[in-house]
Amino acid sequence: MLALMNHSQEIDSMAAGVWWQCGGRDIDWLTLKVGVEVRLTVIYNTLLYGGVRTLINNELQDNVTSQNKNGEHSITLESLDNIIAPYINDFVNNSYVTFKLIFKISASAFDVYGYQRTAKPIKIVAVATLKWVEPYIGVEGDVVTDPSAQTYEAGYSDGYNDGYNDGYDDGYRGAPYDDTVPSVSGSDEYVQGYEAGYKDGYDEGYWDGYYAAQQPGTGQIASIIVLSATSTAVNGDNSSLIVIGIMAIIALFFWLQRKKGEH
Amino acid sequence: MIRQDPISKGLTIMGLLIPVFISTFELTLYALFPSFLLIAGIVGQRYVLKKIEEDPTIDVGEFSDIMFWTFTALAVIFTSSLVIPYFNFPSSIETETLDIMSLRLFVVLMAIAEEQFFRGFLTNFFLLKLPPALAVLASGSIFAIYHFGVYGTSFDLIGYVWIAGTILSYIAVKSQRLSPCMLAHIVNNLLAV
Repeated sequence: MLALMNHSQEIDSMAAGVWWQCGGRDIDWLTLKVGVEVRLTVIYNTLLYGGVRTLINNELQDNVTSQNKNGEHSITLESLDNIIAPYINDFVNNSYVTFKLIFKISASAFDVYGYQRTAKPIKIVAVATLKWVEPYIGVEGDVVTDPSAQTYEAGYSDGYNDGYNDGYDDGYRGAPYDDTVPSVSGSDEYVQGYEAGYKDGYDEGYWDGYYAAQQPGTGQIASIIVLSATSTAVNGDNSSLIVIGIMAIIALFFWLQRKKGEH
Repeated sequence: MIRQDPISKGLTIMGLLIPVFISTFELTLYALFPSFLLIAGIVGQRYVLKKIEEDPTIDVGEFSDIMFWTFTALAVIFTSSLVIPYFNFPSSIETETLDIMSLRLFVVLMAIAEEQFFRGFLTNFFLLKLPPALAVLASGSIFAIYHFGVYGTSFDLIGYVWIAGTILSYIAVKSQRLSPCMLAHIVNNLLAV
């Protein structure tokens, strides 16, 4: 039974995707291998009562390779409630469940000189935090009696009107509501007017396609990998060296200031 | 002895206020752990070491000294990241669920808390018991072990943290101040998010 909510909308699935472009100089693109690894982490957060708990830690969901310079890969978790089903007994109403899909994209290829070049792997994270609302079941009772028969009070008439009239009709109308239906002493008949229904939150139908129920904000995320055979920096990325250089120059400046102060 | 100075004291006071901000505006308990770590560091210095050495003022020469050690620490830490191939900061839950402003405040708080605990308290504690070189190695190693909780058993990441922790401890001992480590750690954390 679903109970993951986002702004009063029930969420059943989560989809996220990445796309990539590879570029670089002097690369033999026929040897390109792009790897996409998708892992799932699920975190449960009660906010106030019990803190944070990791339910699923970095579990591998998908692992694909591609030879395309430009490509994309997406994944859909079609049933979030099934993923958390083993843990829901401990869940507190109105707590939060965070689903985190971590995409790791790596790429390698040989350059035209025959050396293997590797792009620095990139991690991209798609996150959906959903509110956990406790599943519930409701029973609506109604007694209809034949005026000619002896009447009775079933005691179910009030107290169960929880507004589920538009809920799922499972065809139990008119069927006996198990053995809790009171029999009427001294009467030949009683009327079984019980409707047993349950509410699973699908106000507008049972299954309307998971994209309509998908957590918004987890659309496709861009990622760019650049491979270069001619760069002198580690993994083709020289930004680290620039930062280190700046830090070293500033340190040197203050070292000179310090020396000047000593004299 | 690693001393407190107006910079480290000011940052510590700011660190004590950050959890109030994060808890109020993010309704989360993420700031609880670093808050306790920060308080544990201060309590450890006060009640275990039984003294907190202070430099009440900073003149121009001392400021240059602090900046020199801060940027030296950063240069060495960033250089160490080059020897760890494919180093990427792992993303954790707090980095994904907090607003970017709160996230930055959170990593600043983590840096202040870790410095007060690991350098202000732990390194000072080891300095009382061990020769300086061993004290630096011991506190750097404990700093790395503590990060198993965040980075798991990824040894390349732990190696990076061990190098960074040892460098920070070394600089704290060499400069005899906590502020260069705090500033370097804050800058490092801010660049990582």
